Amino acid sequence: MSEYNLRTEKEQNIFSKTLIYLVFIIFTIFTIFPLFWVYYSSLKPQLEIIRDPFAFPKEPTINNFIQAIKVGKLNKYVLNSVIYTFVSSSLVVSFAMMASFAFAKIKNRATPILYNSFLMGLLITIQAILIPLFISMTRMGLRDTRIGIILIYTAINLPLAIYLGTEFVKAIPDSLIESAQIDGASHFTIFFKLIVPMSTPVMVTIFIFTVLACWNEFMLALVFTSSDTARSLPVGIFAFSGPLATEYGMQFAALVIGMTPMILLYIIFHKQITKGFTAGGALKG
Amino acid sequence: MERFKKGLIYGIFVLPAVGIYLAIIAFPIITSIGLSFTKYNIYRNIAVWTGLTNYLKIFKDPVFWFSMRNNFFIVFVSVFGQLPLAFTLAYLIYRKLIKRSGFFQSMVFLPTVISTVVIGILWSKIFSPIGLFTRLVQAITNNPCYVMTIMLNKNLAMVPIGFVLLWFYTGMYLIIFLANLQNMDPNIIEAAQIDGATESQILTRIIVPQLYGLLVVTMILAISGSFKSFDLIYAMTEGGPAYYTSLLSIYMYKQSFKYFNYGVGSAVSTIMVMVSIALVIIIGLVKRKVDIMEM
Repeated sequence: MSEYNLRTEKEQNIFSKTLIYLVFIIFTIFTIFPLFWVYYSSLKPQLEIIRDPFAFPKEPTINNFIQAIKVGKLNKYVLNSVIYTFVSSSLVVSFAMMASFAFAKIKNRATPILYNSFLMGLLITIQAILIPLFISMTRMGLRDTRIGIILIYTAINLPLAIYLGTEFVKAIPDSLIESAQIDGASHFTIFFKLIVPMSTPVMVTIFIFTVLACWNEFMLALVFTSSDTARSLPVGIFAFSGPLATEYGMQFAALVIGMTPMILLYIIFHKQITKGFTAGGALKG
Repeated sequence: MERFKKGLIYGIFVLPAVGIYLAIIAFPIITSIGLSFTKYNIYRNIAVWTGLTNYLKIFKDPVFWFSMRNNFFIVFVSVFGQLPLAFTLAYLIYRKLIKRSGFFQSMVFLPTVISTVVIGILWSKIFSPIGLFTRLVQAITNNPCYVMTIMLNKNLAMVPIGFVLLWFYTGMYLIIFLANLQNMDPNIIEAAQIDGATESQILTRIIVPQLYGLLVVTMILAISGSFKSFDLIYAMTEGGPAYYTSLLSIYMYKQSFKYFNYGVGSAVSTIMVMVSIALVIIIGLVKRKVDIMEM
């Protein structure tokens, strides 16, 4: 009797194990296959893509990439995206760490209001500010400029950065700061010599996470840029890859250019990226 | 004097962040609500008060209601698809019921780091009538006449999109659930196992009660996220064909930046904000009640 029970239990175990693996394997196929398909399709000439979208490239060519740069002007968009990403992320890290230090370590009655208003920013829909921001940007002459986009990207990424930064700086012991103060260090010295070096881990997390957000951002860039000098890569890719476009080879090349940097970033920094998403990914929807 | 100096230093440290935040985020929110009661001309910068006209116009527009319907479909997919699936996968990884979990975890999560535009275009290529899916079905069923037309069907156009959303966002929730599971005290589970608790008892009696608050919060966040979504679906279909895959955000975008009805657009965004604020309040209440939100 007991032997029989043991056996069914074992069989059940194997069955559920198989099922579990099956679910994960299906997910893996759905992730790997489309990405793999984009990569090898980007090396196929237009005709081969139309004739058989499945087949591997018979005569691999990098012509699609050359076309994407020449006709699609992707080099310009890549440059813009690189500028937006790095300038905004650097600004976010600097401003967020300064504010985090003040919120966490300098007593002030304004802190609860300011800090909570940043936290509220995590939950506000970006669509809510789209039209008034469009109007004010237009009137200030900042629409369709690089500065405009950098300002917007900095602002929308501050709430999460300040949340992460403040929580981190709070955990730095007050005694360290007090002893520095006794030694006659000013707030600025404390910030640059004590807080910043100790906060490197959270600064890396904020930076990586903001890089990801800026590089991938689409809606705001779509609304706020129209000329080649300001368009970001996602908008550029979208411009010649809309549902009706037919330059398939170029489109695949553009997709490869758009996604490869972030896949590499994930492979290198998956810990920091995971951390950022754990803290605020869901909040950003 | 000392206090003044300290206040000044505080001001210097918070000024860049607060200034940029006020100008870009806080100020426009307030303007937006006012704008929704007007007809605005951007070239002459004139806003004419029109009362509730914009709202009445929206409520009479079938496209608005169809977009709303699609938004609720997305809410449905995230609450009854993404969250349960993500929780299940996270639980399986947490309880070490699978080997090589690090690899599988990255595979589920990887899409999340890729640009939504890239993802949208990629899947539109797969699901288009001449796309990969059509060819695949043709090859499997040996029926060369098959054409993928679900995306052209008014009532079913959202179904493939729902699938893509499920695939895209599950990884993000998986990471959130997993982090919270790993924060739990492992001794409790060990003690339960020593007392002879089965796997399903551990799940329903120990883990779910402990994560109850998180489950509720992620649910509300998923709902508010669903109301925000724009990028992926716009890149995939631009809301088309016609308005079959339109969302509130796409409706708002088209009203404002295609037809230049800024007042109507603001009214739509005000409705969206009202929904978010309601959700923020609910989150606050739930948080106070359960007091477990460790995000």
